Amino acid sequence: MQILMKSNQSALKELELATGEIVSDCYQCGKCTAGCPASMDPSPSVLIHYLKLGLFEKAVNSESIWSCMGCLTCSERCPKNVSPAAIVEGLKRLHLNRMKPRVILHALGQEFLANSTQQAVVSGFRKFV
Amino acid sequence: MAKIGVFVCQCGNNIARTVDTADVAEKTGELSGVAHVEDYKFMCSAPGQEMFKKAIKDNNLDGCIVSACSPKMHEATFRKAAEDAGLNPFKVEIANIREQCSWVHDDKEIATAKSKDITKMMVNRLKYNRPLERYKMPVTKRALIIGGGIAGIQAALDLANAQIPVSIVEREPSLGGNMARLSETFPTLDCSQCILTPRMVEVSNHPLISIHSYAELEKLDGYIGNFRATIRLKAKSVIEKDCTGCGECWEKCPFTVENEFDMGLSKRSVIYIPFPQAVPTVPVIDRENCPKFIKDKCGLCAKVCGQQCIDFTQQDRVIEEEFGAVIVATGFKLMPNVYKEYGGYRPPHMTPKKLTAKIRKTLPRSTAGRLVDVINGLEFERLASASGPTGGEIRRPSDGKVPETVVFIACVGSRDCNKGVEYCSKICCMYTAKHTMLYQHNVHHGKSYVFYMDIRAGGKGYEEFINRAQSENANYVRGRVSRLSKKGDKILVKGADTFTGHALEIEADMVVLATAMVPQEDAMGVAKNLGISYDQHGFFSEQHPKLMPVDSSTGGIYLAGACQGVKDIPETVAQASAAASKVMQLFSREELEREPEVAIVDEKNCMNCWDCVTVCPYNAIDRTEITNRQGQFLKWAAKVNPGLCQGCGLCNTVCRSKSIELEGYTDQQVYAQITAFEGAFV
Ligand SMILES: Cc1cc2nc3c(=O)[nH]c(=O)nc-3n(C[C@H](O)[C@H](O)[C@H](O)COP(=O)(O)OP(=O)(O)OC[C@H]3O[C@@H](n4cnc5c(N)ncnc54)[C@H](O)[C@@H]3O)c2cc1C
Ligand code: SF4
Ligand code: SF4
Ligand code: SF4
Ligand code: SF4
Repeated sequence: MQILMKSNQSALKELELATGEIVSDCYQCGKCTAGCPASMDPSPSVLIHYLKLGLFEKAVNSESIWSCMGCLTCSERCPKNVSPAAIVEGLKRLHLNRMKPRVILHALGQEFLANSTQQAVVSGFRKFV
Repeated sequence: MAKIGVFVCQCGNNIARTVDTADVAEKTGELSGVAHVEDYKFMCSAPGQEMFKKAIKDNNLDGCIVSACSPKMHEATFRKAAEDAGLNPFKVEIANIREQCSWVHDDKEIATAKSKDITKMMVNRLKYNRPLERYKMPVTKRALIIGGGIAGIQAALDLANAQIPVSIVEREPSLGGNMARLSETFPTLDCSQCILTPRMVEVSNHPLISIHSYAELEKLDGYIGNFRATIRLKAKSVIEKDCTGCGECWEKCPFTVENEFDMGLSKRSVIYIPFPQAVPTVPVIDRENCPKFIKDKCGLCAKVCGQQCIDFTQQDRVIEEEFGAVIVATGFKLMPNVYKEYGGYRPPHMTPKKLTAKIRKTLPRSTAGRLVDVINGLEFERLASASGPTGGEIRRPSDGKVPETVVFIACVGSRDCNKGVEYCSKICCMYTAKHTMLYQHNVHHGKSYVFYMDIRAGGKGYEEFINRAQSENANYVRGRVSRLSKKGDKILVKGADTFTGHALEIEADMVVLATAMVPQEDAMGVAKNLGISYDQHGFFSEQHPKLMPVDSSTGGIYLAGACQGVKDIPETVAQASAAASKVMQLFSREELEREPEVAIVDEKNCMNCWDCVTVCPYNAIDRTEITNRQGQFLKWAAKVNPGLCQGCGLCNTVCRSKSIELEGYTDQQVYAQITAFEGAFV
């Protein structure tokens, strides 16, 4: 994979404005990833790394943002006072703003429900409906 | 009528490019009082200075303006030249037409007009300059060193070997500091005590060094060359001059408490020396924990001492000594573990002095909720040390088992704006690598993992040392650890590998935290006591981060070692030697000269509000009684100690009766300067 560093970062600006977080504060220590109980893949620090590289689309289209359950463990422990939870939340919001609602509630299916943590489903309801 | 000479410098092209210096000289020559002008290429060059001196003599000038670069650069040069030519140096002023004019403007016309203005303002000011004499101060050629770690030891030896008498004030019963706790030292892996203790012995045998151990500085008065220190010698309960250090007392003492030298990993007797090679080898009784002092029981040590030197009634002694210079070398401590997710708060030995025996008993090392096998770097040093609690075998504190898997976590508390400090502690990458090696050499089949973010190994032989550690089986994982928790008798380490972007778990037998180096608890108090400044963390501030790294903000007080910022041993020793050489410079003169630009008080006018006393950051102002010739009291007035006054001018701004002024910056001078401003260029 070759990465093209983009100078136009308007989507990132929008995200930073919406969340109040500054993505460049993150120094990629991975403490958020280490403690994330949702086993996100890509993990929170990788999502932030995508954003730092200008790969906004890759971050916003990652499946894993939907499994964040907003537990705030990462934000509590981040040594740089970044809130990965807020950034993930922002990604979800921008995704929903720009695109169609991601999920139709009754179409969720048993498999999704079985594989998701309860808190994730509940915190996602606001977005689904 | 004044006879002022004005010398306009072209500074090659630096000034001449944007300022018409000939025009400035000509216009200035028309001002009243100006008797001589020059326009010259390089005023600071040797011929320039000769011309300057000749002009003063030939024209019998009584004041000079040099319109040139910042006074920071060459004020001293021209004042010296004037002195050589027989003119009072304080009748020379610099008009800065380079930094404040030619360098910041492009338009020649404007810059020339502004230069004329700047020069004219200085000419007007100069008319009110009084000839001043530098103060001469005697120097007491004795040095005080606060803190007897490796920094204090090195500075003391350097000074004493240069025939300067030294006193060391050390808070603990022995010299040595943190270095005495280390097992082996990077980057050469030589035994710390083997290189440290010979120095300690040298200090104790040196005729010019006196050691005040178990002592603290209470107060420091005076100024550069003339300090008066008040030192409290805490009661050791042992008559020092009679004690032979035979050890009968501490061997027989039946009561034990946590040993702070071993970071609480072992016990020591209540009458104790911190470690076998202690200097001086005189024990002290830890009165807080001694039953003789708590309930008048025991007293065994007094019975066994053949020299009869135990004295339970001994009192603290307060002594006063005179010094010409002070070196502060109070070192560092490790940050307590403030991370709940890393097993929580540190055990009591981190603040041993604050806790009474009773509280300490309620907080044993196996505090509920604390992970006992999570230790810090200094605790690991004690475990690895041949003189430590395990005799150099690496065993974990909880059950004494040899740990098969050890996880080392770097940057704990460092580089953490959330719960720790923002700076990098600089030495922990190195000592963590050292720890992996010490562990490997001790437990050959053991596995070690290091969680790190970056490896900072920028010293001589340091990167090579890291390479060696990595080739000796240490597994480096790039990522931070999120949480440590108990799992059976192991510790579950939840970390991340940021290269793959995945979380990862290790079950460890022991975890070693490379915690941040922070200043001593009482560092800010010490700074206030000494009148020196400190940064937001509590490290003492140097005068200039590049060019004056060992001078404190106060004249005559110098800094050495980890009290000024994180440092390893080589850097500490280098700074200590540098501080010693600064003291030698100071003491190489019989008298000190102080600039006369200090505050002066109009005693008649002073109305004793003492606002100036309150505001002076250097404690330079005192109250004095004014008496008449018969010695009868007339009134109070403020009095400035010219040795302490740094000429900051704060007192000038608070004095409501206009009774205090700064020599060289009198209201008259400043007013004359401002009113000469024309601003034709604006
Ligand atoms: C775990 C660990 C491992 C290390 N390993 C290495 C290594 O392998 N190699 C290396 O080069 N460096 C190493 N270092 C760094 C080394 O320990 C320090 O650089 C060195 O000890 C600093 O010396 P110092 O004299 O400035 O301070 P300290 O050793 O802290 O000495 C300060 C002294 O001042 C005394 N004091 C403090 N306050 C007062 C007061 N108010 N009044 C009177 N006395 C006072 C203290 O009691 C102490 O004796 C290591 C550090 C740690 C934490
Ligand atoms: S914990 Fe904070 S600094 Fe570390 S990778 Fe996550 S967001 Fe970045
Ligand atoms: S808030 Fe989301 S990203 Fe952060 S730790 Fe919890 S689940 Fe993971
Ligand atoms: S020296 Fe290394 S371990 Fe210590 S704070 Fe700096 S980067 Fe972290
Ligand atoms: S501020 Fe002025 S009036 Fe007040 S004590 Fe000082 S010199 Fe005297």
